[in-house]
Amino acid sequence: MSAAAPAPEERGGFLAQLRNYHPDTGLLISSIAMLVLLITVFSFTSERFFSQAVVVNILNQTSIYVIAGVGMTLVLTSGGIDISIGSIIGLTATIMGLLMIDQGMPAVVAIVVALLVGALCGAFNGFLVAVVKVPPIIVTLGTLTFFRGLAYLLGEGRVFMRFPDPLPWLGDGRVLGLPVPVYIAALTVIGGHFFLTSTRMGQRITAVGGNEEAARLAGIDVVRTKFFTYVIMGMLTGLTTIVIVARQDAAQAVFGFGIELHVIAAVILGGTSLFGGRGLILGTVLGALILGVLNTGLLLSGVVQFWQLVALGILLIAVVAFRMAREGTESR
Amino acid sequence: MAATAQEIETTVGTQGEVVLEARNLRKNFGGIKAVDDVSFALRRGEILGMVGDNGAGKSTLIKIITGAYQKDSGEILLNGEPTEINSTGHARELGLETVYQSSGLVELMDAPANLFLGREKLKDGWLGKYFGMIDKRFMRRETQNLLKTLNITVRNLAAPVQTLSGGQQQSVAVGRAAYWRGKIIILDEPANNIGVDQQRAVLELVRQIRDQHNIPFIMISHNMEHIFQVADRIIVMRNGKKVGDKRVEETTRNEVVGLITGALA
Repeated sequence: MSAAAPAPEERGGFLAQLRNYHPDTGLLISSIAMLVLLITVFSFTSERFFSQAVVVNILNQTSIYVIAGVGMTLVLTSGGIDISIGSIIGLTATIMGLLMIDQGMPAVVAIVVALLVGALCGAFNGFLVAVVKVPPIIVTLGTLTFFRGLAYLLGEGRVFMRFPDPLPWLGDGRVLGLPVPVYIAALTVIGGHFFLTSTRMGQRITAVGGNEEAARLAGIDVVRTKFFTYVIMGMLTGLTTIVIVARQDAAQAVFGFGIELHVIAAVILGGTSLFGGRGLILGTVLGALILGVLNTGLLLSGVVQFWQLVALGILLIAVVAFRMAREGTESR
Repeated sequence: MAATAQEIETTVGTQGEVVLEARNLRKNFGGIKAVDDVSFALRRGEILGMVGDNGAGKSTLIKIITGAYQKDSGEILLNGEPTEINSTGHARELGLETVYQSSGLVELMDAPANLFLGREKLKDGWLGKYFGMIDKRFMRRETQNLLKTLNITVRNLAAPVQTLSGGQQQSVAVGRAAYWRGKIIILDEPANNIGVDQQRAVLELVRQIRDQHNIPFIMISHNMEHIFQVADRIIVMRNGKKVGDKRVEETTRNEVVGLITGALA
């Protein structure tokens, strides 16, 4: 090691240099390759796949998973997990319905309240994880039913419909040919990427997830960092709810049921570690797109929905198994 | 706050005055006297080896000094001033840098992120102030300079430190302590679990930092070879008590082993 041969710092081809700049490049490239492969396959199996309407539809469908996925990437990077987000969506949607339909509050107020409700739910999770120190999977398993129960209690089985403007516009409005949710997702991604890679808090989230003890010894406030991560997750879940409610132009306590599995799958497909310490926001976008393309492609190819579920399961396990095997050989 | 690599290189101190003194430290766990009336002094530029069997009280003693445990009684003086060390964070503020056995690095992060772990350099201006944006270029440059000063060769600065050898990781950890102007650096089994060549390199680095910057070290080790390679003085702990305090040139391995086991007590 010391005084050994001089460092062959910037050596090798373009790829090697890219990896020198950023070691996660390999993961992103493998995700892009998978996406391209899927698109190629589906362009053969379905003639309609390449129409503008289909592409726009995939982007539109994917946007909600991307928004929640950015939050989930942060939570997984911090070494945690949040499986309660589907229920947070149900609760937030119900409250939006009560405020806007029953109370006649303007959309702006309901939007702010939705973000706040999401953040509060996240703070509740964060408090239990970071301060009370209950394992995150247990905490959010508990709040998964807790928040859903609250949503049913408040909503009393009702369906809230016909939301006042400009809320529906957030769901189906178009700017330059693209649906508004796509822009919301894009902004979330840019913000999330910047936050995770280039800010102090982002670094600390990664450090806490990578080696909590080392982070603590280095003087990082682990409790605060974890708590904050769940609050962001909750807030982004609130944002996801706004988009869902706007797109459906309806709200119901059952909204968001099961979404957490789809979101976590997208994040993991994108290369974020389930065990913390490595988060790739851009990978999450690719992971969500892979799922969107897979679903739409199979649908257009005439595959029954049950087989789509089977395919999704196989893909997820195969990708993670492949990646772990590769990492195993690389780090040794 | 942060010393640049150049500044570290040119730091010159005076030899010999006592920088850390422990007086009659005691710590009990239930009925067990983990540290029992221990006193010792550490001088500037000195490498103090601390040896003893498992459970002899080395770790407890070090944890009291680094603020991880609170002492039951006794006194700690830093540069002659009685000082209460409340927490590990407080110890670090006082200039006591600790390098832990597990190296204390986040293995999945790169060397710059680890060097600045918990003390990230923010960008000047509004980006740093309001968005907490970190100055990656500064951190990268400082890391490069530091590694050069310490003769550590890292192929790719952006690679997670887990891709470095165990010895390099430990060197980065020791280098980090020096970078942050540690006035006293405490090493807990610095050369454990790494290859023989790398052990030598880490010990060489310790001596180099001491020689260049006159920083005193306390080094806990099980390994008699390591202790005799770098230490100027050796403290032997046994059953919570200090049973030996010898300059290396005035003692032998056999004597130290005898003190550790109690054969010479």
